[in-house]
Amino acid sequence: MSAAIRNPYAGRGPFAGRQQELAEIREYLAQGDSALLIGGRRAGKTSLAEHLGDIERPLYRFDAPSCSLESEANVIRALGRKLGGDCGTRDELTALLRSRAPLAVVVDEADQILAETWAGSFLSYLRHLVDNELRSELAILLIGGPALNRYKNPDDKGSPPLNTARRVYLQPLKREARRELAAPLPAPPDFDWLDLHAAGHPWLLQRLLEQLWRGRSQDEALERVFAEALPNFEIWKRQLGEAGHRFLDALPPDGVARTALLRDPAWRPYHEAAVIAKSLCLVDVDEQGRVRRGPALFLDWLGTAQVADEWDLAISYASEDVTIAREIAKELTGKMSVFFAPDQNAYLWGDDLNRVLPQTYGVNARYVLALTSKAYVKKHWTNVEWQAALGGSARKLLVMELDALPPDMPPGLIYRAFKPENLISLISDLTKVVGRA
Amino acid sequence: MIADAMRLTASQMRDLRRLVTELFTGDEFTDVLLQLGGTKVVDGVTPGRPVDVFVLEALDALQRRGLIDDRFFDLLVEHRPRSARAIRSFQRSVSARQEEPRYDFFISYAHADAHHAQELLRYLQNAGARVFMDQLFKPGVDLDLAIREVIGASGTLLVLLSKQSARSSWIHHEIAFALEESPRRGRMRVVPIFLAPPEELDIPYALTAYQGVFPEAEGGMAGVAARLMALTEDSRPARRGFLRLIQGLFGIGSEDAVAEDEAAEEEASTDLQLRELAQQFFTAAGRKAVYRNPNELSVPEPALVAADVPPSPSDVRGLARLLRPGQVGYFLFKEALPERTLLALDELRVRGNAIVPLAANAMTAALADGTARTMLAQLDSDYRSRDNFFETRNALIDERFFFGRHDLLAQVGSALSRGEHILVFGLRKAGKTSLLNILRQHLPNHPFFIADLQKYDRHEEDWPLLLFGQLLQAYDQWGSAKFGDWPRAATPPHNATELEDALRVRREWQLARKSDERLVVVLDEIERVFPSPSEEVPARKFIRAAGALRSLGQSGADRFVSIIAADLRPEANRLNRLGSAGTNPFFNFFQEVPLPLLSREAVDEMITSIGRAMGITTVNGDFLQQVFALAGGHPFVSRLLAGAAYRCRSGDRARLSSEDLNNGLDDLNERDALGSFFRENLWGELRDSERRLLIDHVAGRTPAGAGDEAERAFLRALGLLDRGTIPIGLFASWVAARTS
Repeated sequence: MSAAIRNPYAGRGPFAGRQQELAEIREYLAQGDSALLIGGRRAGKTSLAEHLGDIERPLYRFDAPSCSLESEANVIRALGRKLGGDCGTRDELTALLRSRAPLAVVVDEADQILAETWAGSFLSYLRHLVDNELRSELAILLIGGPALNRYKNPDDKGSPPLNTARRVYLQPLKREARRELAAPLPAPPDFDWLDLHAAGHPWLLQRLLEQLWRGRSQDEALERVFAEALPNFEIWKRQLGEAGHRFLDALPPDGVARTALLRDPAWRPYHEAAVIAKSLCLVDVDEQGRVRRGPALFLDWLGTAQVADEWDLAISYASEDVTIAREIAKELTGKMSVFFAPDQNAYLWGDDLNRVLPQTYGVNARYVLALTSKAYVKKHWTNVEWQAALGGSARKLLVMELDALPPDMPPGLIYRAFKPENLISLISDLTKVVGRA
Repeated sequence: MIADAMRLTASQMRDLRRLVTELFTGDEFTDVLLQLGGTKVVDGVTPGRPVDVFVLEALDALQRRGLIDDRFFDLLVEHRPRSARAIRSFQRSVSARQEEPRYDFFISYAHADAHHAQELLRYLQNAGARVFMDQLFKPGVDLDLAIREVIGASGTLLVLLSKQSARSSWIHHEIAFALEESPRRGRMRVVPIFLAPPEELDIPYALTAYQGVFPEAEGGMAGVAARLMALTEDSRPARRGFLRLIQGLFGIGSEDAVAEDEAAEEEASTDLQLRELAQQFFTAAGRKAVYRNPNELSVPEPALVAADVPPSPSDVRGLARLLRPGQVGYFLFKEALPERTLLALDELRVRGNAIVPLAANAMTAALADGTARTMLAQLDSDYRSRDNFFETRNALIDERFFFGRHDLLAQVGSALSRGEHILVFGLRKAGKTSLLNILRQHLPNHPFFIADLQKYDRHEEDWPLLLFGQLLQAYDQWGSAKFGDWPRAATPPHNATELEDALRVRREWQLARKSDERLVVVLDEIERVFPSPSEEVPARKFIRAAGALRSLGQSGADRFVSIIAADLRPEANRLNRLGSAGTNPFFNFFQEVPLPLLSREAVDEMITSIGRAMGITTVNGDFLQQVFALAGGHPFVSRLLAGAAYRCRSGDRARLSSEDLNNGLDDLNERDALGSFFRENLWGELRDSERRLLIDHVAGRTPAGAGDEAERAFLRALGLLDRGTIPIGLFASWVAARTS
C-alpha cells in the first residue's frame, strides 16, 4: 500500500449509519426540545454530534473538559466565550443566551460535570432555562455515557435536573452502514467474519477494517485490534455493570426476538440493561430484529476475564479531603491492596462512574474506609460510593468522621473522629483489622 | 323598520358579503339597494370598484342605516328564488343571535336557601321583571334539559351563595351552562348574591370574576331587587356605573367583570381592544405587526382577530381565506374557544396550515410579565414544527392542551379570592406548573410573579435578596405596562423591610388609581430552597425569605399579596423547626392542595382532543381504556403513551387502536423512556418507607399497617395508591420487575 494514499480509517474515520439518531436529535433541537445523547465509550457519540449539520438554529458546541471544572463560574465563563460574549454569573449567561436565541448548545462529555459538587445546582439552573426562562428558544444537547441517564445529586432537591430532556441512545450499526464503512477497501471483506467479531460496534469495526486496509490477515487484524482495545474492554465491562452481564448471560445463542424482549414478562427485569447494552453497541440487532450477542472480540474476552477485581480496602472520600486520603493510602501501601482513586487512573478511565464505583465499593473491596465530611455528604459520586458500601452485603464499612456524618448513617455503626495526630494509630488499627492474617 | 334591524358582527358581514357577491352582479345588487332605501343607500358608494368592495361598502351603509332586516332578506330571495335556502339559512343564523331573552332573571339556589330565593322572586316580580326559578317547572319534566332551555333564554343568572350552595351540584351545573354552553353565553350577565360574608364561603371559581351584591348592604332582598332592576334598564353607562359602584368588594376580577360586560355588549369595542392587544403583543414579541384590514394583521404571516365573542367557525373561515397552502396563521380571540370553533381550527390545521391560537388573556398576561417573545416562540415551535402534539415536554402555556384541571383551578382561584395562601403538591410531571401557568392566564390583569426556584443555589447564593429584587421587578413590569407613571424602583431592595416599603408605596399608588388587584407570588419548586435538617446557613436564608413573604401575605386589612407554593411534598408547610436557625415562617401558613391524577373522562378528552388536532378522527374505546389502565391518569405518562402510539400507528392513519398502543409501548421500552421516568421522577423521589409500602402492595403482602399512616396518606394524595392498588399500571409492573 503506497504511503501516499491517505488512510481512510485515520482519526475518526468514515461516518456511516446513524440516520435515525441524527434525525431524532435534529428534530428535537429544531423544535426547541433538550436531549441527552447516551452511548458507550468509543461508540461514536462525538462523531454523531459533529454530523448534526443544519438544525434550523445556530448551534454552539462546548466540550466540558476544555475548561477547568473546579467551579461553576469557570464553566459559565467558558460557555460565555463559546457564545462570543463575556459573562461570569448565571444572570449574565441567561442574558447572553437570550441575545443569541433561538439557539442550541451541545455539551460533549457532559458526564464529566456530574462529578462536581456544583453540578446538581448548575443542572437545575439549565432546567430552569429550558422550562421557564427561554423555553423553546434554547435547546441543550448533553452528550455522555450511561451515567447521564441516572444522575441524581443527594443535595439536589426539587425536580431531577434533566427530567424533561429526551433521551437518544446510540444503537449498534446496522448491516448497511457496516458495508458502507468497508467501501474504501480495495476488495469486499468477509462480512460474516466482521459481523462476528465487531458486530455493530463502530470503533471495533473501523479498527478491524483499518488492519485489512493495511493488507493484514484476519488473524493479524484480530490480534492487533485486541491489543489496542484492551483498555476499552475494561471500561465496557464496567459500563455494562452487573445487570448487563446478567442480560448477556441470559441471551440465548440465537438471540431473542425484539417483541419478546419487550413484551415477555420474563424479560422485563432486563429492559434497562438491554437499552444500555445496545447503547454500548455490545449487543447486536439482526435484520429480523432479533437481539443477539455483540462483538465476539469483546465478549470472548469478557468470558475469560476475571469477574471481580479484589481490593483489601477502598478509600471513599471527597476530592476536598484528598490530602488526608492520600496520606492514609501512602501509609498502607505495601501492607495491603488499597483502592485509592488517583492511583487507579487506568482503572477509572471510563465514562461511567455510576457503574464503576458501586462495583468497587460494593463488591470488589473487602473493606471500605469512608472519610466523611461536609463535602462528602453533599457530592453525587461520594454518595454513590457510600450507598454502594452500605449495600455491599459481605463488606465492612469503616467510618472516619472529618467534620460531618451522612444523614443515613446506620444506627449502631461505630465511627471514629479524625485527628491528624492519631494517623499512625489509625494505620496500625486498619492494618490489624484488614490484615489477611 | 329600525326596530327590526339586525346588527351583524364583522365576521357575519364578511359572510354576507361572500353570499351576496356569489349571487349578484354589481348592477343587480344596486337594484336591491334602490328598492330598499332609494338613492340614499348607494350614495357614497363609489362606482366602478371591484364588486366585492362595492358590496362591502354597500352592506356597511345598510348596517349604518339599520336596513339589514327581514325585508332586506325578502328582497334577496325575491331576486334569487333558487338560492332562497342559502339566504334564509343565513338570515336564521343571524336572527338567532338577535333574539331577546324570554326571562330577565334566572335564580340559581341551593334547596336550603329556597326561602331567600322565594323572597327575591317576589320582589323582582312585583317590580315587573320576568323571573324563573326551578320550582316553576311542572312535575315530570327532564330537569336538565328544561334548565338548559330556560337559562338559554334568560338575560341574567342570579346565584345565591351560602354555605349550603357550595354543596349543590345543580348550582355548579347551572353556572357552567350559563358561562360555557348557553347560546347566550358571553352576553348573559351573572350576578352572585352573597347570603354570607365571602370569606366564609367556598365561591365557585367561575364566579370570582363577577361582582356580587350583598343583601345586608342593600337593606335586604327588597334592596337587592331594586339594584338588580337597575340592571335591566338597557343603558350601558348606567350598568357600567353599577359595576364600578360595587367594584372593590372583591380583590379579584373586578376589572375583568367590567371589561367582559362591556365586551359582551359591544363587539366593535372588543374588536378594538383585541386589535390593540394583538398589535402590542406581536410588537413585544419582536415581530412587525401591520393591519391590512380592520381585523387582519400581517406579522408577516396572516393573523386574524376574531370578531365574534366567543369566536365562531366563521372567524376561522375568515382566517382560512387569508392563507396560502401550507402557510402558518395566527388566530387571535377573546374568551374560551367553543367546541365547534376548535373543530374548525383543527380541520384547517389538518389541511396543512399550522394555526397558532392566541387567547386574549394569555397575551395580556404575557405582556404584563414581559414574556411575549418566549411565549410566542414556544407556541410557534409547538404548532409549526412539532408534528406530535402529545409529546410536549414543558409545562403548558396553552390552555388548548389543558385538561381535567378546571375544578382544581376553580378551587385555587376561590381560595385566593378568600385571601388564603396555597401549597400545591403532587407527583413530578403531574401538571403543577401547568396549573400555575394557566391560573396566571385566568388572572391576566393581576400583578403576578412566578419564581422558578430551580434557578437559585441555596448554598452559594443570597437567593432571598435576588428573589426580592425580581419580585419588585415583576410588580414594576406589570405597573409600568398598565400605568404610564408607575413609581418604578431605581435600585433593588437590600432587605425585607425595604421590599415591604417599596411594595407598599406601589400598592397605595395602585389603590389611588382605583386598581386593587392583588399581587400573586408563586414559589415553584420550593423544595430547591428548603433546607435539609443539618443545613444552618440555607435554613437562615429560607427563614429570611419566608418571613418577609409571610409578613406581606398577612399584613393588616389589605392583604394584597397572595402566595402560592408548589412542589412534590408539602414539607415547607409542615416542618416547624429548622435546626438551630429557628422556626419556619411558612409552618401551617398554606392551605394544602394535593394535585390528583386525572380522571378517566379527562384522559379520554385529552387524547381525543389532541388527537383531533392532528387529524385523528377515531380513537378506539379499548385504546382509551388501556391507556387509563396503564397510566392511571398520570398526565405525562398518558401523553407519552398516546404520543408513542401516534408515532407508531399503522393501518388507518386517522385512527388510534390497541395495536398502535402496543407498538408504541415497545418503542418506549426500547428507549427506556418509561423506565427512566419511573426511576427518576417517581421511585427516585420516594422515601424508603414509602417504597416499602408500594413493594408490599405489588407483592400482595399485607403491609404492617401501624405507623405508616402518614406515608399511606401521602401516597394516596399523590395518586400512587388507591384502594390498595397502584393505579399507574405500568409503574406497578415496573416496581414488581424491580423487586423480582
